Amino acid sequence: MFNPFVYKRPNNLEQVFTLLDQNEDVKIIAGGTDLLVKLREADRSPELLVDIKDLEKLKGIKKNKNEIKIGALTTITEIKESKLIKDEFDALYQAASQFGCYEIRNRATIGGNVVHASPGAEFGVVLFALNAEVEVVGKRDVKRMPIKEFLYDVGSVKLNNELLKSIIIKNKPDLKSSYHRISRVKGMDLALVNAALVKDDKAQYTSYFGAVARTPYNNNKVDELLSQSNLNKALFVKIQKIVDESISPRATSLRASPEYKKKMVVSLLKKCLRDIGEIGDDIDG
Amino acid sequence: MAKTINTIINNEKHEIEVPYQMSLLELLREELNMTGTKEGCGNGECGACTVLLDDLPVRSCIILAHEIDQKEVVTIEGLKNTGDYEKIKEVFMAEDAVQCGFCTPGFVMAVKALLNRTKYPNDQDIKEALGGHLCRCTGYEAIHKAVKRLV
Amino acid sequence: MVDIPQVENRIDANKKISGEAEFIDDISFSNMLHALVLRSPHAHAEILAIDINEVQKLEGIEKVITGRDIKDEIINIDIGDHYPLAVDKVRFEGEPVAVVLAQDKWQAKKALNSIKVEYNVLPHTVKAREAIKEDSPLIHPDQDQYNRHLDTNHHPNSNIFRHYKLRKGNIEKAFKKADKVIENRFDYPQRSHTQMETHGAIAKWTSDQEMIMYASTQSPFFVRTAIADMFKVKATDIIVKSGYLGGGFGGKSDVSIEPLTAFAARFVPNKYVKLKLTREEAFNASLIARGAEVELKTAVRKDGKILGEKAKIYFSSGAYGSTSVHIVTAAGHNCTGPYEIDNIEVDSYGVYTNTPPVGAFRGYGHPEVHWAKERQIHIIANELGLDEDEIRIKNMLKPGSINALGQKIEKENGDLLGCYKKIRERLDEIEINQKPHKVYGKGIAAIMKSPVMPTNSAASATLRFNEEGTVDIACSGSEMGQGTKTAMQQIASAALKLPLDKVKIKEDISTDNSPYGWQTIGSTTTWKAGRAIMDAVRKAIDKLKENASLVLDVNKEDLEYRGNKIVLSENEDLFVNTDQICFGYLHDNGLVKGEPVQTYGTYMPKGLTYTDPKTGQGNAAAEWTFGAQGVVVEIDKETGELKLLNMMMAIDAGKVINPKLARGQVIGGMVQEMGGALTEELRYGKDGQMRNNSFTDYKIPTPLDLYDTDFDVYFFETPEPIGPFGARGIAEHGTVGIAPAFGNAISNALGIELFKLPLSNQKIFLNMNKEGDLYV
Repeated sequence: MFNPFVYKRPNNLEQVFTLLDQNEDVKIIAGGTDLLVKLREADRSPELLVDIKDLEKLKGIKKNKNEIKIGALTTITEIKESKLIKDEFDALYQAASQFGCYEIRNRATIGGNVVHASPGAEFGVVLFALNAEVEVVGKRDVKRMPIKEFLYDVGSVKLNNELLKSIIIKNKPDLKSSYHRISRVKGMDLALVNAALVKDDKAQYTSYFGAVARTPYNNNKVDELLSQSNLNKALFVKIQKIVDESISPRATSLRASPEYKKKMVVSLLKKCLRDIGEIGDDIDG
Repeated sequence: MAKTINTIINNEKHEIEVPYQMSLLELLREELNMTGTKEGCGNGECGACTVLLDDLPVRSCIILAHEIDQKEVVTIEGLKNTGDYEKIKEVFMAEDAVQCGFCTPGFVMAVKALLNRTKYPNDQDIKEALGGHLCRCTGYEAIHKAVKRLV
Repeated sequence: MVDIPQVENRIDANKKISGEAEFIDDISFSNMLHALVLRSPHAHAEILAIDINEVQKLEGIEKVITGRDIKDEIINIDIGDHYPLAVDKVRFEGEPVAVVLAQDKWQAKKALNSIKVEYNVLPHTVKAREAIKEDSPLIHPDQDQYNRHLDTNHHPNSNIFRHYKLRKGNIEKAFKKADKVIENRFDYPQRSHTQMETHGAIAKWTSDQEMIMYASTQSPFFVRTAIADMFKVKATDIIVKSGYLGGGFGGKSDVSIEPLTAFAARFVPNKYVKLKLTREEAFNASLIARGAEVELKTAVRKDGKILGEKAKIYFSSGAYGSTSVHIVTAAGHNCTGPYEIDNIEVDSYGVYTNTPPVGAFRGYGHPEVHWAKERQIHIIANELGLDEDEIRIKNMLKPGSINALGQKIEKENGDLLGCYKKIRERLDEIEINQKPHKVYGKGIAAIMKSPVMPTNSAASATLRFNEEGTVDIACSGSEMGQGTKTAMQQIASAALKLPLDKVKIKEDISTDNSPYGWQTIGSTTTWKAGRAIMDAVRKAIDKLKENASLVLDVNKEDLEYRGNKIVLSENEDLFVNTDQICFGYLHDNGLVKGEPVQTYGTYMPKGLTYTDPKTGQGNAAAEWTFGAQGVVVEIDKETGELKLLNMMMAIDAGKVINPKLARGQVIGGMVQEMGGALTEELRYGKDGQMRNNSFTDYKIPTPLDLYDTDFDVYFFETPEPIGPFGARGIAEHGTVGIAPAFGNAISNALGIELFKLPLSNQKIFLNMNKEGDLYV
């Protein structure tokens, strides 16, 4: 049962901004799969919910020259079923496939997933690893900034009476990417730890890990080692050491202990590398 | 506060005043007396409340009634007398895929949506369709066998 | 052997698939009030003040009820330790503190949010092992004064409200004679039933002080008795109705929310009051399950003979004790497993803790201790360098053995050895297709189970022939998915020798006119209600013969019942059709001979006694069921993730009434227990609040965990003399040995011994390649 609120569904941006201006206690709703669950558990609701699902400008997946633009209102199902995305960004496709479950994917949007900024969010690690940018639309203008700047803390993004409009990813030829996660059950579950790995056309690696820090976690040293070394067992021992020393996941997590999470960072890294054909089955354990 | 919405549910037009905070599930069960759709968790995590919204299966417990204004919903009550429903019923019965029956309408809706997408689902399709549904009785074997009969 | 007629589908399949089947929340009444419950945020606290003055004045609020309204309405089942609403003190987070009644649920919610309660937080404890310490806070300091329906052997000035002792032989001698003594501690944490349907009840009191209640309960008669006792009214003034349950598994047995609903409704006569739990409330404010720590100290000879066993079992039973007294007993006398051990010393304790009360859960008392016992056997085998099969078979209960209770095991109790060998044979023949980065393990466990219940837990049935020759039957047993009504139709059809479509079984229960049934628990309905039906059928056949003898003018004793007709044994040409006489025979001239055939049948388990207070022995188990279970698992070496490849059970079912339903029960039980084995555990924060009271962090098995699993179920059929056509109960047994089968499979795959459930990915991974006692 939800505590009372007022609900409005404007169909253009101007109306949205007017509502945001006029109301202090307001929340934006898109797919609602995160927000409504939170409201159900809360003692009170915001006074106003503004549903932005009818904003056509925030929809669709488009390819412009060397970049792909994903509207914030694009559902996870639409991402999963996009040939464009499957062809270009394996990691995005895999993240979409493992996100929630089919019914949830039909409602949840990529914008919502980014804006909620959960530490283990499926798309956080992937978009960080792909060095994505976001478009933020306000009353006056549209800003563009790296997602790493936009999403700066748990549950925190840079939006000030603005909306996330789209997510932009540069597509380079020969880019390879992969996403893996650990969960408790194979059906609907949250990631205990997740990882995204990108290898670009210059053979440079970028890796990000989720649910191990407040925002998607990257360690330059790990990426450098991957880019410059032979991918052998000794290297992973080295990487494990770096990871062990550089992250301290929350000890009070119900889902997994820091000790396990640290080890999973390297295990998932290996799975990602294997996925994109960089290491074989001989490296394990 | 309440406001009127216009919607089509099971091929029938409804113009109805509902409070803003009412969920689609509450609208169906408490206002329209369509109790075939069940509430198992209220959090979108079990699948018992699955309905079709503009042909796609969704969790009606985490959708607001006002979100279906100008949209079309199909519930378990609306499946009856359709060919797919008879097929689904037949395979669920043949494999005894029903025990307590509380999750069953949700599973049936998921399978109906699956058949809407593809006439000949493969393992991957079935996994996608059923993956987010919980059943505490059957251990899923009978449900999986039933749906595989549709292949 | 009799051929049981086979139904094409369970009798409720169509209604359930179409969504027509009515569950508790599908019922509502026009002037119905919603009851919303304010619950304690603290695990243990004194209630200093509750301010409801302002709230009661809010628009649309009919009534606000608190513990101050309780006079002496106590839920007095085995131990009178529990009120429907907290009085002065809360003992677990989620305990009801106030109830708001309103027609508009949003108004009720608003009111609920405005009630102010002042608490004095007390020290708390959620684990039995902590709660038994001398300096532990007493959760019921005055338990000495509580009214008890049976002697629970509680310990004064402690949190121990139940102590079951079992003594056989001389344990100290056994330890002296042993070549090796092996001691281990096993933990089976608390978990949740998570029936897909949460608990609900609707109650109304009339001005004549009668109450009518609709409830999602496995135990309508038990609820009736408890509520009548609570209000000191006659049982006949309490009518409890139950229909389809969206899963029960024991969590809807005894009582849970029904007393509170009845209590709240009493303040608003002539109005229906509905209480329906949210999923979060179902987790932390209904019955929870299991929660046992088991210490086993086993004396063995080097050839694998078990000489003696000492066991201590501590149940974290939650804030109130009545619903787990029998669990403590069952665990006590089953903890030696399906083995003959001459020297036994068991102490099984029910301990108050600051959690929701533990109640029955599918197989209660058995999975907890089999987790310990079947792991222990595996470990003993490893330590002695023997084969685990050899140890099991050497010590196994067989005809002539004396079990822990002192009962003699007969051949008719079932083929344990056959079941075990079948599972070993199947495990051996499975070839594993090895993949990189994975390791594989096969695990096995032997099981036994008996129902533990009051000695007078009766069942009954009524039977009515209709004019056209069809038969209406009503019998005890709630339908909660196990298919009991379908099985009863088949039993009745077989006994009556009439086609299935002539026999109709009443599916719902109303305590004012349905045949009495104690509770639907313990896998007892097939044999108990089945026997009651057989009794009713026997009486009906007798009456039919009586009518036929009047019509045919022969002696009743010379007649033979053949289902659709009654014939003269000597001359088959002389007969009368059943449908001609079942309502009395109508002659052409209007003269009627005989009477309508309507009968009742009853069944009371025979010869059960209380256990002896000193030795714990006695005839406490009415029947035994034996079997064996196995799993094959694949473990990812890089992550500890476990995939179930095969799951199997062989069980001596006595006689399978319906193979499809029976298989569904066995597999459903096994997968439910897989949850407890691998992922399920209720977790509490340091303040004693449940941290995972939703499906977000309480993970039960999903379709994708089982999609690629192959199941094998083998039924042995050694007829059980007390069962209808030889049938035994089988609905719970799938749960009993699954956890140890997983534990043993992991041990075989990785060479690690795990002692504490659940066997999560994390636990498996972190223990890989380590050695020694890993109690993580």
